[in-house]
Amino acid sequence: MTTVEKVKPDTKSSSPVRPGRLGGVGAGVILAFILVGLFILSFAVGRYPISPADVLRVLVSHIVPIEHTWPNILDTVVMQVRLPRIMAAMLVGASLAVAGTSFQGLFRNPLVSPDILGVSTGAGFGAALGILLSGNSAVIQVLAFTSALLAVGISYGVSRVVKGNAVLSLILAGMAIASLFGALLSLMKYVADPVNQLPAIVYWLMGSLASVGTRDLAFAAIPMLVGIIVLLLIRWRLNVLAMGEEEAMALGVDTGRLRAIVIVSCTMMTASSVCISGTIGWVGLVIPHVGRMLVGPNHKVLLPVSLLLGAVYLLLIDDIARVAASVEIPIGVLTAIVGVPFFIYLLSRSGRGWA
Amino acid sequence: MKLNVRGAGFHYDTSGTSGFQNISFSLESGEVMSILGPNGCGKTTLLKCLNNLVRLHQGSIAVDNRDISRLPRAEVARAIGYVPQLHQPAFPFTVLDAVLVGRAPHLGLLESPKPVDFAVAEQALEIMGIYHLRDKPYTEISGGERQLVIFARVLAQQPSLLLLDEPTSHLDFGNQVRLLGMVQRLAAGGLPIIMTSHFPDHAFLVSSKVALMKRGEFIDMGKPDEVITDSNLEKVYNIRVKVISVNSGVNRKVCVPLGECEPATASENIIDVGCTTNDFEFYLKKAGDFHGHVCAGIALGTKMTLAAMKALGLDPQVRNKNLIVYAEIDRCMTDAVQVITGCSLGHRSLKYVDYGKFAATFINLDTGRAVRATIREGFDSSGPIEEVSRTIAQMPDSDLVILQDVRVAIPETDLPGRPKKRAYCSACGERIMDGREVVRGDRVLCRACAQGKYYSEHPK
Repeated sequence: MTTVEKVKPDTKSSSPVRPGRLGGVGAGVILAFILVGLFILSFAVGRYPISPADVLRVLVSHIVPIEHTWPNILDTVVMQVRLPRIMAAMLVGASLAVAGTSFQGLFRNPLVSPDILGVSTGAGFGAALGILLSGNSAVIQVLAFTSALLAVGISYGVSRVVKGNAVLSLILAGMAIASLFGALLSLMKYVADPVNQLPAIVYWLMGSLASVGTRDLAFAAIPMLVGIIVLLLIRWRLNVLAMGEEEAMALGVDTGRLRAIVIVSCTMMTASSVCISGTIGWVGLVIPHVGRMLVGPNHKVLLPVSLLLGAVYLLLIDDIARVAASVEIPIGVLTAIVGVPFFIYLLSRSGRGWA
Repeated sequence: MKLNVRGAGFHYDTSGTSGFQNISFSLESGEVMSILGPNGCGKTTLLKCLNNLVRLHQGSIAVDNRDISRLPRAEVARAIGYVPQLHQPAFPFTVLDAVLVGRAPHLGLLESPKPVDFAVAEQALEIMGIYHLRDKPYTEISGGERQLVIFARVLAQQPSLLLLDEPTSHLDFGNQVRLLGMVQRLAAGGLPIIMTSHFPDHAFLVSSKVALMKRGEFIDMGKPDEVITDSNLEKVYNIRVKVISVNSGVNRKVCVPLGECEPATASENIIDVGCTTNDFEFYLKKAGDFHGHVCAGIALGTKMTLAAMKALGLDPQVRNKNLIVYAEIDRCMTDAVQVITGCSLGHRSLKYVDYGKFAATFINLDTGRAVRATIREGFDSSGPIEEVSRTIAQMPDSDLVILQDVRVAIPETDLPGRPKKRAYCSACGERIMDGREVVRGDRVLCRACAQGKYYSEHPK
């Protein structure tokens, strides 16, 4: 022990700070600044250009009363059109990233995305059904949300019946149920009226934040925020889960309960995201990787960083979607087109490869 | 801490092969218990049950009189630490993060490690001697180091009982021993440890208690010396095993597997061969001429003859007409030698009988090579190595010494003080018994000459 005590101050003095943790805090602060800047900038860009100063004035006027020096139309554009869309982009990005990170930790697999348990195909089927039945956006959203929960619920239920490795049976059950709902979705497309309903289904599945209104946002924000808060609260436990089912149990974790909490949270978040913006791939799969490249795999740091990264990324992509072409590009398409080269660049730079 | 296991049983639904039944034992602070047994005998399942990872079907497991199946998971984890056979990392956590995870049972669902937990984790790293790896990704260190990280993690858990599932099975030779040293130190600090192992030698090294497991049952349990025996190991592993004491300065018991796999390079100069009834029968069978009605005394001669023939490169399985034996042994031995070799014996004398040894010279007529073999019964090897070597040094010069009823292997080259050449009296020319030479200047005399009994000493 004496030798150990001698060694201790030496090593401490040679590395007085924990690089991983400081790196995490640093990355978090930088990302938060980027997010705030991008948030304000996002109001400025679009068909109707507004100067950032005006954006700030409009936003501030809703908190503290200041002199009204701008045309009334600015209020409408900023508060009614752009605010819900920007909030939705941030929330959806953050939700998908946090859900993806949590799922990858839970399943100990960096290839897992939030729709591994069938959320997306479930929601897609529900939405298609809604489009076939009524076309009312509220009906579509409610059906999509319910169907997404149903798909995950079935996956989870099936995995509980199967004996053996709990995590593996979850993935297998998820794959099975996802293909089942995928088949049902195809059936919906097949029977849909090809003039009106089929394009509606296809556009819905491609994803867009263009039509997000205040009411949609209010509907979706609650489950997303609840999920994010729950996962942020238990995020350190994900480190324990990432040690593997059995070891986590040996470390005193009620893995069944924790897994259920994570799955319910992630499902609520992902289902809500899919409901307001359609299926946006890529974010939930790759943002966790980018996060791990930046700050390492410790979920204590990784989850907040993923959250910020996801929000920044989707906001950026949505801005590009709004500005790049005269016709809006579906966001689900853009995430991949912009994201893949960036991700490959990061991958080639990191030197550590996947993980 | 006191662990009590009573009538524990578990069976998998499908086959029932890897479960166990009727397991009862208890363990107290400071004890190290090794569980030995073949693959699939239920060792790992038992460990998992001891940690309540898998629930027992029968019986009970109690830590300090509390039934662990009724305790919440976190409480079990605070009492019992578990090191799995092989940890497979999924993400490149830093070593410190991986160790901090050990604090989980001490933290609430919403809590994350506090400074005190960091301190405990860092102390665990120090105890394992891997503090310098603290900030490295634990995927980028060696497998041995990673095992130490998992050990540090379980220390950070601060359990009052440690379960180790084959802790050495994925480590290199050096790391195995280092890890066992760590086990010993932890046990000395009062932490009781149960480990499964595939190495009976490791059980000799660290454990105070050994249980032998076969097909889900303890077939023997007790002190290592009493449990790890030739016959027990043969029963469990179905191979012939010889438990011998190595005395060449290390004083330790080791298990040598025999039969199935013969060494590619046979070690020469190993003098010892213990002999038990089993061996006797084995050699009788090999000799092919015995049918069990030969008197037990023959064993000595059998052994010596076979060893000598082996040394001469002759096949002991066939009666060998190429062998000629000069025996200095008693009647019973000569019979044995005669039966095995088919050679007649040239009796010379029985003079060595006085010293409690039997000897014979074997000559291979084909090669002309001769071996002088001596056999010594009831040899006491329990003393320190110097004493043992002194005893052997007093024995007549032999190419082959067979120590009977002892389990000691001593490479001949290691023996200090043993004259390598025969000493002859420079006065009378007679051979001098080892240790009886009298040195006068540059002359070596036998005792008789030194005392002037037969020849007077000629002054220079």
